[in-house]
Amino acid sequence: MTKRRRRVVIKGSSLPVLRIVVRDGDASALRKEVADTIENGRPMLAEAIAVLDLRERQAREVGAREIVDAVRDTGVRVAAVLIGDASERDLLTGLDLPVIEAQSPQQATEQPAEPDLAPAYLTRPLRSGQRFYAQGRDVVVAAPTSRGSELIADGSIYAFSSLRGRVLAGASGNASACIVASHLDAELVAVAGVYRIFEADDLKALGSGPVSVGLSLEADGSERLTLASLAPSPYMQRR
Amino acid sequence: MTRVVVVTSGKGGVGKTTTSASFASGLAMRGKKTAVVDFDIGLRNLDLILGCERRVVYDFVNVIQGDAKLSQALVRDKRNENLAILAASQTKDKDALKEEGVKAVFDELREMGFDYIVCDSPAGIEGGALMALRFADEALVVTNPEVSAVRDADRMLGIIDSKSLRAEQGLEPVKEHLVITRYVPKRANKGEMLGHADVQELLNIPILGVIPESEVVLECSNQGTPVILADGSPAARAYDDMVARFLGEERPLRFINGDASPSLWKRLFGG
Ligand SMILES: Nc1ncnc2c1ncn2[C@@H]1O[C@H](COP(=O)(O)OP(=O)(O)OP(=O)(O)O)[C@@H](O)[C@H]1O
Ligand SMILES: [Mg+2]
Repeated sequence: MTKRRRRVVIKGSSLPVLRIVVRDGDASALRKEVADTIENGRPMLAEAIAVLDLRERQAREVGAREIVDAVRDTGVRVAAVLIGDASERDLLTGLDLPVIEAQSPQQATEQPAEPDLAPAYLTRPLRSGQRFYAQGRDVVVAAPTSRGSELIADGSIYAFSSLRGRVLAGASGNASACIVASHLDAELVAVAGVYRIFEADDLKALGSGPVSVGLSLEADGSERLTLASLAPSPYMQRR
Repeated sequence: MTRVVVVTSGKGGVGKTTTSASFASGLAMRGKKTAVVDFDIGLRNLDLILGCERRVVYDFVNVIQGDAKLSQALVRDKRNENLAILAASQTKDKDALKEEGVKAVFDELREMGFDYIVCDSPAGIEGGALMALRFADEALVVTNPEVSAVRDADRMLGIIDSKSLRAEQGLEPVKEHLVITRYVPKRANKGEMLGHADVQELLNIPILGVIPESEVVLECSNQGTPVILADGSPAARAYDDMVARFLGEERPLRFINGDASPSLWKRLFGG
């Protein structure tokens, strides 16, 4: 007798899930900022599922319920709400959304070390419509990626080639991940979920040479994506 | 050993059929026994471009469905006995192209001793286009110096890398060549079109040929003559170079500089 093929299987997934982090602020300003931020992120949010992260609010001037409403008003598909404090759970009862209580990343103790996997090695060009995911590791890229492609790593991305599609490092939250590329002409760049979308000419200022991308911590505790050219300055070149 | 070469693009109307006809004729002129197969079911026009439409009795689908023998359906080119054409069917039954059927026809062509099977792919990234690239050993990816055509070519390259039999079986990947057609050097130099180097940089595969935009192409297709036979015209010479390179000859790119002589201004003032 042949073995019956199992009809129900549980598997891991690498679906893009974005975290919308909302911090403190007064009600009307916050509502507008939610709308603006989401409008800017639209191309990325269009296909993604979003999780609303309310854990970084300390003052809680605006209720959790109001924020959920504001985000939903923008049309984004919210899959769950993350809260840091059980007392907020009551405010969210009656929502048809899972409410997950989890420690905020700031309180969290040492992140578990990334497993010691050798980096993935990408040697064929990544074409429009293709995706490459280096799960739980870095990736070394030795062939160009095209517009419309998606290069994702849980670790860092080191490219000895041009990166042109979407490029996402630290995809599962590693804020110390970085992207280094010998030429960057990407449509979107992200590190640990902090992302920027680029129009055709946005990256021109960085020149055609090597570029590095990483997260830097601002004075107010927020994270910012920093892009820097690694090319020698014109002065050096002249010598 | 028979080599299967697909001529493909993603985007429609970029010059696949024009290129297939000249490429197959060029191979035949160089003594290679070549069969050129039209995969554009329902929109057949390769036979028109090659000027043999009147002699098509049976087509590719007839052979696959067992209504005719391959030998009955192959039309021998009247200019070159090394070249045979297998026409597409005019009926719109696109589903007739089943993988086993195509494989059986190709196996028979191999047994008949053909050196090359050239597959003229339809536009798009489904059905007939997938079937045309399925058995490919090499691919001529045809594009125009224009952003949307290049994007589609890129997409097609990704599909070759994942959907070809070679990819699926983990064999050596399909050898990919870039063919840029309808190139107007003057406009590329002015930045109105992508330059051939830009296209190559975006797609990152070696350039096999750059075919200039030419009125001769339309005249040839009206007469049913492959462009490569239009003696002396730049498009014909560019196609001839392309075939020579494919067979391993080294030839520099021609017809990419527009007006090669320096401008009067430069000559006077040393620009
Ligand atoms: N080098 C050229 N100069 C001028 N016209 C050209 C050139 N190459 C192709 N053309 C014209 O472009 C049109 C499309 O060419 P062709 O039929 O070869 O493209 P195709 O990619 O096979 O199209 P389809 O996707 O419909 O099969 C034709 O009218 C042809 O005459
Ligand atoms: Mg065609």
